[in-house]
Amino acid sequence: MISVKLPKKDIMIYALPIVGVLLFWYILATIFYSEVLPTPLNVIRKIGYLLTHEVADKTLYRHVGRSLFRMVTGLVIGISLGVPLGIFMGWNRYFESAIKPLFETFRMIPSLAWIPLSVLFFGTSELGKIFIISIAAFPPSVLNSWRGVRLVDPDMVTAAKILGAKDLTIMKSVVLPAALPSIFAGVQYAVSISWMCILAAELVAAGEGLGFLTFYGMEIPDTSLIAAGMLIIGVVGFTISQILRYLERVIAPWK
Amino acid sequence: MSRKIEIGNLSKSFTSRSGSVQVLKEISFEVFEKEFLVILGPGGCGKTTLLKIIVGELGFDEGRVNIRGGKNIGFVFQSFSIFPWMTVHQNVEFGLKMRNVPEQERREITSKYIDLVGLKGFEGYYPKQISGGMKQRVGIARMLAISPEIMLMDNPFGHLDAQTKYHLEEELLRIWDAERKTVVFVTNDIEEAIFLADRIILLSKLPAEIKEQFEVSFQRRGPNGELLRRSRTGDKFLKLRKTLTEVF
Amino acid sequence: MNEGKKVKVQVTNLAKRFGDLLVIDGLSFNIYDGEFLVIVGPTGCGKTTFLNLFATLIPPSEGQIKIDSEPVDLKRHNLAYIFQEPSCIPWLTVDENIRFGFETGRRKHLLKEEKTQGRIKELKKLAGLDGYEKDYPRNLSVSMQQLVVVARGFAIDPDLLLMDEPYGQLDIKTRLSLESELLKVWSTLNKTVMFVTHNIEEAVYLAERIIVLTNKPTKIKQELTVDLPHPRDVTDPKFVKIREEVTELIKWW
Repeated sequence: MISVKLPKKDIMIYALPIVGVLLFWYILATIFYSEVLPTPLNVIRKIGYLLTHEVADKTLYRHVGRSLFRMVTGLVIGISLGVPLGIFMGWNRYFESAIKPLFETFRMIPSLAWIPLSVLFFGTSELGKIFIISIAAFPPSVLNSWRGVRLVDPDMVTAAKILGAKDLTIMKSVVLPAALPSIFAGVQYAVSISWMCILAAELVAAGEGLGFLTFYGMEIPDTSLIAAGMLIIGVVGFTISQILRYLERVIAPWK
Repeated sequence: MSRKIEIGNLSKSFTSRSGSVQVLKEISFEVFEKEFLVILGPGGCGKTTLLKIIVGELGFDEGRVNIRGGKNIGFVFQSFSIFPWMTVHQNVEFGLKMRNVPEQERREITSKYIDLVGLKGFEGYYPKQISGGMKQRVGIARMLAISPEIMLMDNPFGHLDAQTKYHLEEELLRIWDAERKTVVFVTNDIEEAIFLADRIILLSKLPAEIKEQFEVSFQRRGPNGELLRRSRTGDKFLKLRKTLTEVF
Repeated sequence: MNEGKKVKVQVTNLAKRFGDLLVIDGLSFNIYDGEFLVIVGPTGCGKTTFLNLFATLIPPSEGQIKIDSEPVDLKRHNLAYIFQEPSCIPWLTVDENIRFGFETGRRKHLLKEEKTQGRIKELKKLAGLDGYEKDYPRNLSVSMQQLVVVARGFAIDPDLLLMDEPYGQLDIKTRLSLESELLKVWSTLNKTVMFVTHNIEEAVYLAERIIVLTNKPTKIKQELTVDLPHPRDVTDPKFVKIREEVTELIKWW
C-alpha cells in the first residue's frame, strides 16, 4: 500500500467520530436511560469530584497508586522469573524439551482462574492480588524471550565466535542484544495483560484501588462512579503503554 | 607457491528425521598462499558447508583439513550478519576487543579498516541506516581487523543488485591486493568467478564433487606487478565464460 | 525499427515530487505497439516510483501517461504488473492463478469467450505449464512460479505489461532460461512490455530498445536500439559492444 499522510486540516477525520459518539451517548443517557446511564457531563463532573474528594475514605491518587503498586510488584515478579526462563529455554535445547510440556500446561490456565486458590492461600491480603498479576505476567515474558533467543541469526553467533568471543561473552554481547526487541515486546504484552487483570484481581475485598473503586460504584450504586472508574483505568493504561513505546526507542534504537 | 590449506578426501553428510544427505563427497584440493581461489557451483549448501568445515564451525565424516602456518581465519557471510545494535565502528572493533587489544591500538586499526573499505565518515551509523553494499563492507572490515591469514567468503555479494555487485567486486580485489591475504571465495555467479579468480574450482550438484579446475591468469597483473581490472567483455573472458557455462 | 508502428503508450513531461524532493524530472518518451522496451538505471534511480506512476498507484505531480491516446485508466485499460518477488496467490491452483485477472467485474464475461480460452491454453503450453494445472504454487520451484505469474500477466491481453526486475534474485542459468521463456511468450502474443532492471546484461539480452535513466532527479540519459535477433548470445561481439555502451552510461563506481 502506498501510504499517504493526512494534511493537518483533516484533523476533522479524527475528531468527528469522537464527537459523534459523545453526542450519541449524551442523547441515550438523557432521553432513554436517564436512570441507569450517566451522561458524559456527569462522568466528567464525577472525575472532577474524585480529583478533589475522598471516596471510600481514600483519595483518587491513593487508589491509582495502590493499583499501580500491585501491578508493578506483580510484573516485577512475573518478569524476573519468566524472562530468564525463556532465555534459557531458547539457548539450551535439552532444557527446552524438558520444560516445554510443563510450561504449555501452565499456560493453558488463565490467570483469573487462580483467584479462588489465591483467596484460599492468601486471604484478602495484598499478596493475593500481586500473586494473580505475577501469574498473568509470566507466560508472555517466557514466550517472547524464548522466541527472541531462538530466532537469533546463527551466523551472527558464528561471526562472534570467529572474532574470538567465548560463550559467556556471546550470550552477553550477541544473544541478549539480538533478543532484546523480542524480550521487550514480551514485557509490553505482560504489562498490558496485567493492567487488564487489575479489575478482576481487586474483586475480592481490596479496600482500595481503581478496580475496587469501580466495584464500589456498583455497590452504591453510582453509575457515574463506575464510568469514571472505567475511564480512568483506560487512561492510565494508555499512558503506561505510551511510556513503554517511548522506552522501546531508548532501549533499542537500532530497530 | 607454497600450500596454505590442504583438503584431502573430505566427505560430509547431514542426517535428519527424513534420512541422510551426503553433501560433500571425497573433495580434495589445495589453496596456495595469497591466492584468490574461487569455488564455483550451483545451489548453496555444499559450498557453504565446505567453508564452515574449514573454519572449524562444522565437523566432517572423513578426510582431513590441514592449515599451514597462521590459523587466523576471517569469514564473510552472505547475509552480512553484522550486529544491528552496534555502530559501524563498534562492529569493526569487536574482534579487537575480544582479543584484548589496548584501546589506542584498537582505535587505529579500526579506523584503518573502515577507511580501507571506503566507509570513512560512517563510523557512527547503525546498520539500519546504511545500504546492503555498505553493510557487507562492514562485514569485510570487521574480519580484516583481526588480521587473518585466510579470508573465507560465502557468496558475500549474492544478496546485492548487479551494479553494487560489480562495484564491490572491484573494491574487493583492491583490498585483497593491499592486504595480501589468502582468499577462498564461494559463488554461483560465473561472471563474478572469472572476474575475481586466480583459479576456479568447479563443484557439481549434491553430493558435491570437484568437476574441474581452471587457471585464470589473463589480465591479472601488469608489467610492474600492479593489479589490473579484467574486462568482462574481453575475448579471453567471454571464451572462458562460454566454457564454464557449458560445464556448469 | 519502429517506423510505421503505432504508438501504444505516450509519456509526456512526467514528473513526481514528494514534498521538496524531486524524484522524477520531466520524462517524455513513447512505447510502440508490441514493443519490448527495457528501462535501465543506476541503483537508486527511483525506478519503483517510476513503475508506480505507470501502474497508477500514485498520481504524477506533472505530465501525463496515455495509452492509445487516452489517459491511463484502470477501468478502461488492461495493465499487468509483475513484481520482483513471485506473487502467485498461494491458495489458488496454477489454473486459477492464471485466470485470476478475469475476476474483476468488467472482465468476467471475457472468460467465456473462445478467444480468451484459446489464449490461456496457448499460454500454458508456451510457458511449459501443461500438466501442472491443479498444482499449488508451494509445490512448484521458484522459476515455475515466475512462469505462472508471467502467464497470468499475459492472459488478460494487457495493453501494457509492467515488469519490475522479476529475475533479480535468481542464479544466472535459471534467469537466462526464464528470460528465454518470457521472450517466447512475448513474441508469440505480441504484447507491449516495459521491463525495468538494474542488470545491464539482462537489459541487452531482452530489449528491442533500451532507455537509460540518470540518477535522481531522474531524467532520460539516452535511448539505444538493440537490433539483434533472438535468441541472443552474450558472448557475441555485437552484444558485447552494446553492453559496454550501456555500462558506460550507467557506471557510477
